[in-house]
Amino acid sequence: MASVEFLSGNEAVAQAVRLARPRVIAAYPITPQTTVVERLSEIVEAGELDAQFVHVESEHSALALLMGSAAMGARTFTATSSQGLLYMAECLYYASGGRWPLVMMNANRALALPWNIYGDQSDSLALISSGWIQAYAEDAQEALDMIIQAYAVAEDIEVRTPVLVNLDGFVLTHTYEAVSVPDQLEVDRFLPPPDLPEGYPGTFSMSKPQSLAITAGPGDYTVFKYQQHAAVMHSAAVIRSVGEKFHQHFGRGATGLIEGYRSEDAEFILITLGSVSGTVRQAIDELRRQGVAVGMLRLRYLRPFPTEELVEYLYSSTRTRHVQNIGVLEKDISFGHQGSVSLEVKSALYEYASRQGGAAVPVLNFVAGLGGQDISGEDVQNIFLELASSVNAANQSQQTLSAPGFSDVRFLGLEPFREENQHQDAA
Amino acid sequence: MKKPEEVSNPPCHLRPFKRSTSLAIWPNSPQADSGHLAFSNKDWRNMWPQIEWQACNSCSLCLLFCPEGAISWNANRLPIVQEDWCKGCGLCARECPKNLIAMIPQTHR
Repeated sequence: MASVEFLSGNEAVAQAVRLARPRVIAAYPITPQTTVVERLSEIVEAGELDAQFVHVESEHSALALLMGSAAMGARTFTATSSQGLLYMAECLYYASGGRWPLVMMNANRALALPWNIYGDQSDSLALISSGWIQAYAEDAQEALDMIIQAYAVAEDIEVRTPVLVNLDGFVLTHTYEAVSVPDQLEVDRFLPPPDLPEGYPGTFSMSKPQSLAITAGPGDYTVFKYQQHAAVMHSAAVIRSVGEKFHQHFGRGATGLIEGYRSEDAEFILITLGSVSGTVRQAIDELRRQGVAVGMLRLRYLRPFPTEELVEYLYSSTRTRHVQNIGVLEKDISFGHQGSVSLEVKSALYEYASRQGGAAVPVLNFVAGLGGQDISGEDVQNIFLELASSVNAANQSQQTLSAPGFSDVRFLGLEPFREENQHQDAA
Repeated sequence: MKKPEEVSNPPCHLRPFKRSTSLAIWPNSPQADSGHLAFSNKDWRNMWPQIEWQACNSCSLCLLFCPEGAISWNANRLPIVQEDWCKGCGLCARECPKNLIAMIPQTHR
């Protein structure tokens, strides 16, 4: 029987990992990831999980060690954050290119400099092209569910690609909520031990030595990279089917790569990801009471990018209202352009518009929550009101500060600097 | 006496990387069974170790020091160099206590 426990996001992840029965865990501590591996070390120490828990000297070593473990067919786990994820960067590409089915949790945290230990999404978004499947949890329950599903997705014979499950630092990793923790038997039924197909890492043995991580020359390299791309594209279907299977087993959880909230008849849609979605839901309910047709699309996965699902949500023939304006709310800025998620969304919309003809829906980019900045319900309501007021407005209103240059990026919290900025623009 | 060309403990062999225009039989990940060389080294090697067998006492130092594992015993326990594996580095020549190995230009063989 499942039990309901009062857990933080990190503790929910630790419980999920315990239930997934990895054989090797390697980790290096970093705020705000530390409590995940603290709990796991206690779980291993108490004999509740039969795993090797390896204290490594760096994040780079942690991931390298897990590739070796996965080569022997072991299920593995590690977790990191921020600078640690960037220190791993080299190994991230190794792991995805080598097709090791690893699962890692990342506590989304700001990047230095200036030094900052609080949450934002700059770390994982910087590594969006590293070949890992990227998931973003909204709450502790989804974090637990996503970790268990991540193993099923990563180990799928047609996918064999590592999965990064992201939790917003502190806001999700350190806040407590009631979480349904499934029974071990139920999880065992859902997630059998890893399948080790011929020709993939995991079939390595003393009697059958293999050379892993081999060289491929100019022509061959492209074929390997194409295969990798095709596997990540294909993983979208596997993520959906694993989600549906999870739903059948445990009776909960979204199954798509995108989850909509009151979006079917919304004229103004905010696209976002991670824990801020809870605040967005509340702001939507409040504005709906005032008669503003607002809604949300929550990106649960950024890789593979769910272009088809996004288009279906925004342009479906079953919609009762056309979408007038879209906002993208993210805790990240790709310096010199705009937020990384905004780029993803705009790319998908351009593809749709160029295929269908006609113009894409305008997209405004809201950069908020950098370095742990609070995003209040009022902030989100203001974002929606700006979306609503900027329809057909040549000069869009300045609820938040617009970045200099040809860009629709608005930074939350810079309103007091606005006059100064306008002055500089004029000069 | 067995024929000297006969290798009693054959080292790894050349097995060209299997290319295909069909993805279905392309390797799933960049890994391969160990002990096989995808490309021969003979086409770019500059030097070649020429071994004088007459005075060899099979001390096995050349075999042990070879960084590529390119040297093995023939049926008479005399060292032979594998054509595809040797890179011509000359370590064997330097280590042979009896100076029986001469590094000669590959083109002069």
